[in-house]
Amino acid sequence: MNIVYFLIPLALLLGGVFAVSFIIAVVKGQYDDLETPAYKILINDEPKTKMAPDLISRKDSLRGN
Amino acid sequence: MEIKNTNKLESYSYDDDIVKKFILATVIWGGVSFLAGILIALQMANYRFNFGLPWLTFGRLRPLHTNAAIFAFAGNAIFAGIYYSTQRLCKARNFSDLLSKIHFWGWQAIIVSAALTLPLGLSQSKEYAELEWPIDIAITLVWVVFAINFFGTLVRRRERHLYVALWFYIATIITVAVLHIVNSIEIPVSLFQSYPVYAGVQDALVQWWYGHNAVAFFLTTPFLGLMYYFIPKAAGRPVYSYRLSIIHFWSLVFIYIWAGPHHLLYTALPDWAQTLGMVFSLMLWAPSWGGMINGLLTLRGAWDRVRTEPVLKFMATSLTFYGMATFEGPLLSIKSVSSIAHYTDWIIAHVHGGTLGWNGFLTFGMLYYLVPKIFKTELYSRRLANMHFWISTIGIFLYIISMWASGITQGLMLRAIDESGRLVYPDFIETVMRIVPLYWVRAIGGMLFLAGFLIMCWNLYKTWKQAPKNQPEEVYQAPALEKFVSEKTEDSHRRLERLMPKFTIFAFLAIVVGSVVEILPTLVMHTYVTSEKAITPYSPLELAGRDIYVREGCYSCHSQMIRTIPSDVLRYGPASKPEDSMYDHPFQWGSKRTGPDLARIGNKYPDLWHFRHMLDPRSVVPQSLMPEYSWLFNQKTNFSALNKKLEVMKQLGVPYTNEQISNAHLDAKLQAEKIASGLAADAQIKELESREIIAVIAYIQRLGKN
Amino acid sequence: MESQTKLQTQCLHCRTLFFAGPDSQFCCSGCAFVFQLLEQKNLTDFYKIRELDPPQSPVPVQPVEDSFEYCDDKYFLTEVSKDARELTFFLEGVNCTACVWLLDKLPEICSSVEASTINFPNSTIHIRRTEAGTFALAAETLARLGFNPRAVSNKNSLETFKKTERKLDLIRIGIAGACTGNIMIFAVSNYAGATDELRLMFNYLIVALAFPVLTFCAFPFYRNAWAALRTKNLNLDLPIVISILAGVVMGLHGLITGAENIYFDSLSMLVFLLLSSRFWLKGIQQKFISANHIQDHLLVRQVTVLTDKLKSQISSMLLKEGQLVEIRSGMVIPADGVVIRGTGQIQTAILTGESSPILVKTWDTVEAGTYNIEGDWVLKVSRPPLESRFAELLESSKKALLNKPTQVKLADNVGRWFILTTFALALLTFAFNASSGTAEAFSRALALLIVTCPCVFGMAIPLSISFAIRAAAQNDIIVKDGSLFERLLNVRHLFFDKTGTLTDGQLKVTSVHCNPANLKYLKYIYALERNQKHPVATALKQYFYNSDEMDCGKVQELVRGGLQAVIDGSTYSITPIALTNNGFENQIKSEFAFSKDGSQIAAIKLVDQLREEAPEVFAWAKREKFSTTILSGDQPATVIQCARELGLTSDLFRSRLSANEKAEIIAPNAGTSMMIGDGANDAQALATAGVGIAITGALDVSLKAADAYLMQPDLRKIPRLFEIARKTDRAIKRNLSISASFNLIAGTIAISGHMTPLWAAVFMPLSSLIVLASAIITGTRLTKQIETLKGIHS
Repeated sequence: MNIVYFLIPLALLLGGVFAVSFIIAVVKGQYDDLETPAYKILINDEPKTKMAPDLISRKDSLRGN
Repeated sequence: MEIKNTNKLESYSYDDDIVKKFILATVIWGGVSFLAGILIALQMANYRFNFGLPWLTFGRLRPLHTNAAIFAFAGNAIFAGIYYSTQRLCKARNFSDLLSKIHFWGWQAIIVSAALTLPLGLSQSKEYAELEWPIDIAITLVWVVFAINFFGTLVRRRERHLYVALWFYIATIITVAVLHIVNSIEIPVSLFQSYPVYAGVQDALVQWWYGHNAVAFFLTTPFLGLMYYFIPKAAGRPVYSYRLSIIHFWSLVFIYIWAGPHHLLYTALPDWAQTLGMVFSLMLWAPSWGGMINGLLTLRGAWDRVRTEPVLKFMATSLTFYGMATFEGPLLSIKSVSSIAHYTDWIIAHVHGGTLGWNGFLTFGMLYYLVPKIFKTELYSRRLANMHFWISTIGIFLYIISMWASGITQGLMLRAIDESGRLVYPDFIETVMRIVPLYWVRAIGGMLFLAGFLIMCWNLYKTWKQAPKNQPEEVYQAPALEKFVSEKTEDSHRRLERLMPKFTIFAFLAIVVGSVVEILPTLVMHTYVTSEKAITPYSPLELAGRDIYVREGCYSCHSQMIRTIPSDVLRYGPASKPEDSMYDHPFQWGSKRTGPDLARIGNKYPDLWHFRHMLDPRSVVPQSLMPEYSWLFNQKTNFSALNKKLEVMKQLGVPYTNEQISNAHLDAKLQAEKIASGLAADAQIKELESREIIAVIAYIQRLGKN
Repeated sequence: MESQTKLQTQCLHCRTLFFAGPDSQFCCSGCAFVFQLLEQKNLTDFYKIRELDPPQSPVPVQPVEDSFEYCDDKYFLTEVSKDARELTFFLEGVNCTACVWLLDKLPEICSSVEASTINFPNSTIHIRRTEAGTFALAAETLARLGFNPRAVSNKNSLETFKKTERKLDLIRIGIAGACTGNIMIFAVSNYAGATDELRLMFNYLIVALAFPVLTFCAFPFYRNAWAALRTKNLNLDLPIVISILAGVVMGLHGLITGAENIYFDSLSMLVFLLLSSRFWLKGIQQKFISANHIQDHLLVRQVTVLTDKLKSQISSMLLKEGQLVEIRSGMVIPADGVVIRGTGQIQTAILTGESSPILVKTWDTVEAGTYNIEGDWVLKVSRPPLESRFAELLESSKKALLNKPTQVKLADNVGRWFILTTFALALLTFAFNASSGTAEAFSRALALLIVTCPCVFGMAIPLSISFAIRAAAQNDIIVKDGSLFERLLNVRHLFFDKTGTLTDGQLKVTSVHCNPANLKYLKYIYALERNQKHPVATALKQYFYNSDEMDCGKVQELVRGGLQAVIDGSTYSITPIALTNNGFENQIKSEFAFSKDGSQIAAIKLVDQLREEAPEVFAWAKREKFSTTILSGDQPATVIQCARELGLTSDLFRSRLSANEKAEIIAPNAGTSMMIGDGANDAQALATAGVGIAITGALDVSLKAADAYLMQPDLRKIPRLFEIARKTDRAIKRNLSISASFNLIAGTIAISGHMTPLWAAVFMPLSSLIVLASAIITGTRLTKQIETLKGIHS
């Protein structure tokens, strides 16, 4: 069964790779918010043509109403 | 942490052309694999469907069927889904359209070459890895192209968070690469033939380590990724628990890799390795069902739509099949269950529950969702889609149930022992006759599935036709990632972020280099069986015969592994030991017994019996299902190649002496003449000794005679 | 209900039911506005998307009047944000996919926003503005869309700390999981009987893989255990650490001597499972804590600062000592300080419990958090908002919530006892089996230590308690200490303060004795009181309201109390009729004389009304067989009257009590009694009683004396508190019995040596999970029930 001397390090290597990528993912803050992404993907991005105009004009906002 | 469209936007568009290509390929190859499947199903029911043609025999078509189903149908489906979803999840176009094209055409070329070589009998006989070495290399290259294209897209993404689906894709790409490379380490003998570096029990372990993980990382993780993307999209509601999906992913990744040995229970594989495989298979049950439940609960409150919406209908059902298969799998890997089920049609039922139900239906659901989306139109007909659903579902159930029945029947018959300790059904053929009717049912099931599939093809074709012509490629906008650093990422982390893509590549290289380094010892270490047990290697003629045995794919119906269970021992003789197959490059343990085991067939019957049996199996076993191998009687054995073969074998550690090698062909001829002379009286064939049949007989008569 | 809904229509925007006129489709102008907005931006998909996954509780849009200029203030930004271009807002009413979708569109809707990040669970949005843009506009837009935004600091040290800690925990779990997973490979192989040289290799691999788990991952346990040792008491990490260390020692020994079992596999499994379950628990607790997150923003307002003749708008967060702030009526006072110009009437209830407004004039000191009812004046800041007493008070009460839940006497005592027994047993087991080989003996002892998991004390009980506290919080009951729920169970006697507790402290005019001839003069009462704010005035104004504007020259306050003014020639006055003024309680005077030119023409009687819900609660107390007593400092007459209304017999109320008399009455059976009263005046009684509940009065004072504070004075919360306590108690008892029986069984098996440490490690989390699950289930059900109750009552 010499083969295990090859397969085991291989498995460990794979495991290691995934472990490290897990750590990096965490550090990167990939898992800071585990709810929003699920909602995010539902949003289809519509093709953009021109920028939409402002919702409320600057002055309007100053007046408050 | 996700980034929104901004007032300072980068414009980009999606490459849906490549998706369309892969969808088309999926459909075409799907048809091919299903047809092949039906043909070999019929061959099981009645030998005449082999048409007496070498390239249509079961032994050669079965690998074609499996490869087409896994790598052509499922493969193209995966690529279509991945390219579609990845672009959208990353808010970025594929890294390079050129690479995408290379990936597509490269992959199709590989499939075509497989479709040509396999029927010609160019096979390594390692299941799902039958393709010969040039194609293996091609696969590796194309896969690397795919990897670069995929990770490139990740690097260019405009969405900080990597959605769980992407993680499943990453795992797929990395692991499949490693598996493929490791399992395909072989030494070429000629352009079309090679011997794997591993032999016997080691080869078996590597093969099933690969075989199982091919299922895990080619038919499971990518489809789970697709599931996590397409089900929420189709249902229009977020996945039930995103947390759970993350846990699902990581636990799968950490457990999956070692379940392989459950394919080798009661074999010559050391006990501890078997138990290991069993335990890990059982552990797999938890994450798998976690994933399934998560998927199904995503549809909570949408069940009314599941009833009407074909897409959801297919996806929900596929999840159910996933649940079924991932429950059955661990069950089958329990030793006692395996002792009945292994080598029988139960396994076939299990496999097809997974492929037809889980992979097939998820793919269909995905196609019904994708095609209208991509062509900016509505599905041509829901009625047809629902029809497809019902017909295919009935088909699957006919298939699975008949194979369960057949598997369990045969399994029980084969192990039946009366109180006097003798086999109740000593003749293997008795058990076969019992299940032939079920083979017809299975074939019908398969046809129904195909029928449903064809309806889908028509439906999708009409959908495509009705699509508005020459649509302009739509332009989307999103900010570049670096522009907007969310407050979550501290500076120290940003370095890591830039490192991320590099890291993945390094990791991959590390694996490759590591593996190469670790292979060297296995290349030089031959003696895993202590020398006193060592057996004499095959004679050149036997080796030639063995290559023919491999070419004809005999292993797909005949195992060469007598398990350590009483019924096997009673039926076939003492249980196989590691040394029996110590020089088998590749191993021929097989995974299914449509015919009896051949591990100790040598000298059980006279040469003449085999001669007649190969010419017309029915002449010695009236009810036999085996095809006639008439061509073995006129094709000539290639003696001249034997020297090279022995040489390679020597490199691989088979103890041939140099003069054995140099005299290989003469040696072979001598042995051939000896056998031929014994048959001459009955066989009116000139130059009988040079025909392949002689070599085959030589090999068969050698089996178990050490 | 049904019939009602028929009359009601659903608001097109927020889906709340409301009584609509024929044409109106919206419940409020806010909703109408948002709807128009979305329509004109053709974002009406919002409604389609929402239908796919509609929010549970629809909320109408609250139009926000705040102005958001302060968001762009340079100093403000440097205070709250790392980058002057980025700012985080806390949003209200983000509750469905559609909201996320809509916020996702923000950059399109508002030109000031370059990019934005939504965090759904925290319901915050992080905005990066365009060069030219302003945060004010962004905030304005958000406000218009109905997510009342509040700028929050994104360099809040606590937050970042929590985040990094969470990351660290996750990494620990990840590593532990990965290593344990791989260790399993080799452990299983060995248990399955791998051959010699392989076995050896596997063992070494196991040790190697276990190393990071037992050092880096297990670090928190070591830290806690060490802390426990330093403070000389037992905590739950101690046995864990001991079994780990013991395991390591034996494991290494086994490795060298080539023994059957090296314990590293079970140990790392143990560590992994413990880490995971604790992480999960933490998550739940923090979710609950962040519930009262909103308090932080109470003081964040836009204020006008006066700097030599010119006004500037800044955020109150930036107020510095010595700055002058303009205070307008109807505004929360942002900082502690001194009035330096003008006068006003302020409501200080939240700090002092004083319900009647206080007049402030130049050089009076005022405190942050109090509310300016009336009058514009100028405040000189002495302590900026975040250092103000109010801020400190909020902080401390929050801390109380953060720290207390884990300290449950019962759990601690039983837990301590439990741990000690386990140790003792483990030692005994070892001692007894030492004869049959140390390895065997040890493996039994270790199995015992591992399998008898104190999880139920460590996690399940605190969890149940924190659920209880959460449920209470949902009812605006601030609980100081988790142990309250235990003590509630012993309560048999309820003692009520009267004024402000049974009564709502609001005076009402009950009778007016007046000679018919003089009735015409009564209208002047309104004139007199028009500009007065204190409760008497309010009551009088309410009663004698009349619209005709008559000018009564100057109203002057009389030294002996009351008011006087000259109206068309004659002098009118309202004066309290001096009753036997007991000095016990600054109780509200309840009879007044209305005099014309010194001679009384009318006697007006005001009574402090009983709370409407009081009878209901007393009925409940009767059903529950509680003895109820009224302890009041008020005069017998009023108390008797009130008692009669509540149907109490004479022995069940006491009047004219001083603060410490009340305490003395309670003292004899303090343990079984609950005092409900005014935080300030009844402090002593509240402290004496086994359970003290402050219904009115100042938050801080009350929380010093009382165990719980009702944020809205509503007696019905008391039955609910009892309900929560009982449910929680049941949950805890169940969990205790579960784990007790489990530990009994598993323990015996372990001692009898039929359980390897590995199996122990497998079984231990099993019990933990069962217990935790039951805690979670009851907990969530509890909070849900309470919510619905709340729905019915308020």
